[in-house]
Amino acid sequence: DASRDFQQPISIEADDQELDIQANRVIVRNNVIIRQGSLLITADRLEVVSDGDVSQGEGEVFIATGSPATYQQEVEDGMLVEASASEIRYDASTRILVLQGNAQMLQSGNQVSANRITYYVDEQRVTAERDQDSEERVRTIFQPRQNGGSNQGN
Amino acid sequence: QEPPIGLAAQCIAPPDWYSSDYSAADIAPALSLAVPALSIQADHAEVLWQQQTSYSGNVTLNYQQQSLRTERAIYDQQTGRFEASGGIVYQDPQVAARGESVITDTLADTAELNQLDYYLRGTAARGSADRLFIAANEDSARQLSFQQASFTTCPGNTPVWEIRARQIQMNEDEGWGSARGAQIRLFDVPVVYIPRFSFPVTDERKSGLLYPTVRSSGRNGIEIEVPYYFNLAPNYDATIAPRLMTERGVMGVGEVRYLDTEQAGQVNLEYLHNDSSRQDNSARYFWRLEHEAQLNQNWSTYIDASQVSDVNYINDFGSAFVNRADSHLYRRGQANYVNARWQAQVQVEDFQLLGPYQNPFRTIPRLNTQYATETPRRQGWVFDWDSELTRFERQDGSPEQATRIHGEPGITYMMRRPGWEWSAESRLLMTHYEQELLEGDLLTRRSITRTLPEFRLHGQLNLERPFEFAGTQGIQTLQPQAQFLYTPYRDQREIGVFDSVPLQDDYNGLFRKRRFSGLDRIADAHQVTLGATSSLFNQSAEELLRLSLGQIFYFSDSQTQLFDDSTQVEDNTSELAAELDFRISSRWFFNSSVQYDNQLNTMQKSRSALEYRKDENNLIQLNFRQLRGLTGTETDVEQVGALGAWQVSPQWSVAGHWYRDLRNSATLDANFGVQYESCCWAVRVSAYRRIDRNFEGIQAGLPLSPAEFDTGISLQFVIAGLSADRSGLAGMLQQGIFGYRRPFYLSH
Amino acid sequence: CGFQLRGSYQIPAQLAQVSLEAPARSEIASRLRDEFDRYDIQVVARGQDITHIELLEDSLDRRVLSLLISGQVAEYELIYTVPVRVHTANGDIQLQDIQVLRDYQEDPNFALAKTRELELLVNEMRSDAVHRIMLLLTQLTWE
Repeated sequence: DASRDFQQPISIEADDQELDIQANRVIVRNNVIIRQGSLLITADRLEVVSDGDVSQGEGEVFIATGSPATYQQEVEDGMLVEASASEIRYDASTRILVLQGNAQMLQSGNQVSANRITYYVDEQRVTAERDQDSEERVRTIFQPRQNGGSNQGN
Repeated sequence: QEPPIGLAAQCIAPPDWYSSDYSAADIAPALSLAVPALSIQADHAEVLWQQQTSYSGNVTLNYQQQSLRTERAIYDQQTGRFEASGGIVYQDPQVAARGESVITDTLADTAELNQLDYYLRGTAARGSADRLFIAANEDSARQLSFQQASFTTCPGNTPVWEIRARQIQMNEDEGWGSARGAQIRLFDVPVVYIPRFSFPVTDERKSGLLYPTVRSSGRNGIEIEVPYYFNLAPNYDATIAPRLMTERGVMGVGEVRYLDTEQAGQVNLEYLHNDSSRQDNSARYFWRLEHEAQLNQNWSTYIDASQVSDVNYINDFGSAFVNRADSHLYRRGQANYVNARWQAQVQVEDFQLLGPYQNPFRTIPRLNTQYATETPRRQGWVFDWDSELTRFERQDGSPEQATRIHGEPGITYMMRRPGWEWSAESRLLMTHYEQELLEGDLLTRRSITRTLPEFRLHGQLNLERPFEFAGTQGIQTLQPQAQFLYTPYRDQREIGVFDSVPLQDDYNGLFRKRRFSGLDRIADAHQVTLGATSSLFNQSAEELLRLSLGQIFYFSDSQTQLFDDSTQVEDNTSELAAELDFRISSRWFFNSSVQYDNQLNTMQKSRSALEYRKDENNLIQLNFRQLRGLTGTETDVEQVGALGAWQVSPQWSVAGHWYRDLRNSATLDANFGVQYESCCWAVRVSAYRRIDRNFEGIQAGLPLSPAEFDTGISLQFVIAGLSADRSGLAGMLQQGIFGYRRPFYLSH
Repeated sequence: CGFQLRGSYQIPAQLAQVSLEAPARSEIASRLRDEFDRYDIQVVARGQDITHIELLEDSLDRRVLSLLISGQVAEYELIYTVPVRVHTANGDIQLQDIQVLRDYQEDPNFALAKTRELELLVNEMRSDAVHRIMLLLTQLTWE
């Protein structure tokens, strides 16, 4: 399941890369792809910030932005979670994903969309809020027949 | 006929929390999902995939045309249940409700609301309930069942009437609702407790049994009729309406209807075990069966039979199928065969007499066939052949019976042009009787054959000219007609009279070939009929006036008679027959028809009517009828009548009719009613005087004594407001003997 | 006096071709077809801007017109009704009830014979109704 992924090495590919050692920050741009096991993030720009040694991968925070940036991970066998937003902030240590800016999450036909979505990967829990200033509310769409029927499993 | 806008509009006043901008169509199409999608929106949501999602802040749900608004809710993906509490507003195409809490099961397609007020969209019906359970049945029509509910169609906080019931059930596509453990409250005071009853919810009116109604009449006392409707299957329903009458007792009234693609029918039963208003406390009943079936392309069958317990039944209880004044019940069973050129019919006919009349013949069976070649377009020959085989039998068990076989080949040559047409027709009528009739009290058997030819020559001109009258341009048409008829005399006095009677000789009768109905008397004729019809049409081709005039000129007397020589024709012209239909203006109509005997200078028969008609609910008509020698008897009829209905205001309307027999200076039938109609109830108070005839135990053939009259006040209370339309007035006009219409079956 | 023979059947152009729909085996429909034939009106399949005539189920009602003092019926009125829905070529739809009335005298001692008279009257009323339908059609399609 999701936790297995986090033992895997993280690989990052992009067209060009920029290292800023003092600020302990790496900026990667143009069709950026991050992989870690079944986790896959695509974005236009990625900023990796770390309070520890960047190269050792401690406490890194990935800030991916794109139009939109996308996220995908296999939660259980065959159960895929997909998401997209203009900014995806992923904290590898707390394993919390924050999607900001017409964020959307899709999971076996069920869908959540809002201005801001927080995804607690370990607990498989998602919270979504409406920003005070924006009119756009949280929308969730479920397909009862499909869900209720198919997944006896877990 | 549009309902009066004022009344209907103010009645349908949805409650304040109801928002009509309900629309369930915003989700599914956008996502074009095959499976019905459940969309929930809120200010805050917390999703545990595959488990529960909790919402807070202005939560709205949309699922399969159901929509919900609440403040806090939880959706469980496993069970598919959505639970909300702390105040909800629910809407679907049929019902809108505001309640305490709701549980929607998206898998089973059910919803359960608690502590709610509800409102049925598009009607004035509303109420409250402890619990409402909504389920979709197999063909996805929603079934509503309310527990501890109230139901009314009256606006305002203390409704004029309200039904409180342990349970009320309504089905979306069924026009009826049913209540169990019901209590009717007037002005919040419980009035009557009814264990089970049903009431119409939409405006598909079932004929006859409608609402629980309360009526009063002189003869039956206070009448309460409470219908209970069973929808047994999509094409099969039953209605039971016990009818309590204080003067007579409780009568069971039942009706079963069935409708399939090939056949349809109806069974009615009315049964009163003992009629307390009669000394012998006898049982009174009426049953009726009507069944029509289409066997295949050519064959169809039809049965219409009914029976009453005694001759006064219809007079005492009325009926939706028989007029109070009818003299008999006509019963028959028949099979019809139809194809391009052939038509055949085999039937059995029988009568139940509702008065002291001569016992008729029944036909067991009657087989007749008709064949005719194609009618040529412009000119040419037409050959036709009618035949009939009938066996007659007296009904009162008397030994009289007869078999008649009849063949009638005919050949016609016709020519048709726009301006004129003529036809020459000759027929040969061959009839053979094997009859056993009582002559005195001696049963004599006779075998008689009658053959006679018939010649007919008919011509017509179609003339026209432009006409101008009071500023309107138009066309006047004139269609003169002439007919020569020759049938030689045959002495038919030995032939029994089974289905022959003198036909009425009004304008339409002038150009008939026969003076008697049926086949037992073919009158000799040597005559010419002259007639003409003229019509005035305005520019939009509407017929404003039509006048017809005609007379028969006899070259020799017609000696054929029915029983005695009173039905012979000795004078040399018939009565002058005329008919006038005149549309004076868009609202004023006049029509009249007269038969004037210019030998005796007497008016044999005349009728005329003047009508002012604004629409179906606002009309006044005056009519006069005068008749000398009804059906060959000496009785004369002279009757004047007035009827009218007026919608004084959206609530108040009056209607009435009054028929007076001038010859005996007696009012035959009169009714004057006032109707007050508000949103949810209507009351009709009418004073009436109607004939109350009692033919029981009177010998046949004796002259009938004048009937008594039943006068009184009738009050009718009707629950209304369940449907938009207001048909009250037309109903009032139909009451009484003269208004009532009795529908007949047309076999093809 | 200005009258002359009707030159042609003066059928409005819209009625040159019509389509007719009626319940199966409807007697009045077959008589109407004969009448169309007589007026050189062609009955064709339903189509764009062709006048379409729908005959619905015809019905016969009976009502009391006059009573004798004994309460027995003196005269009945027969009301033959055939609803006709006409879809004119320019698209508007008119539904009208063609109604023909006849009165006849009741004779309770000859129930069977009176039933035959009733059948005869219905036959005549149907022919009358066909003429009325022709009048309605010419009126609705009159330019």
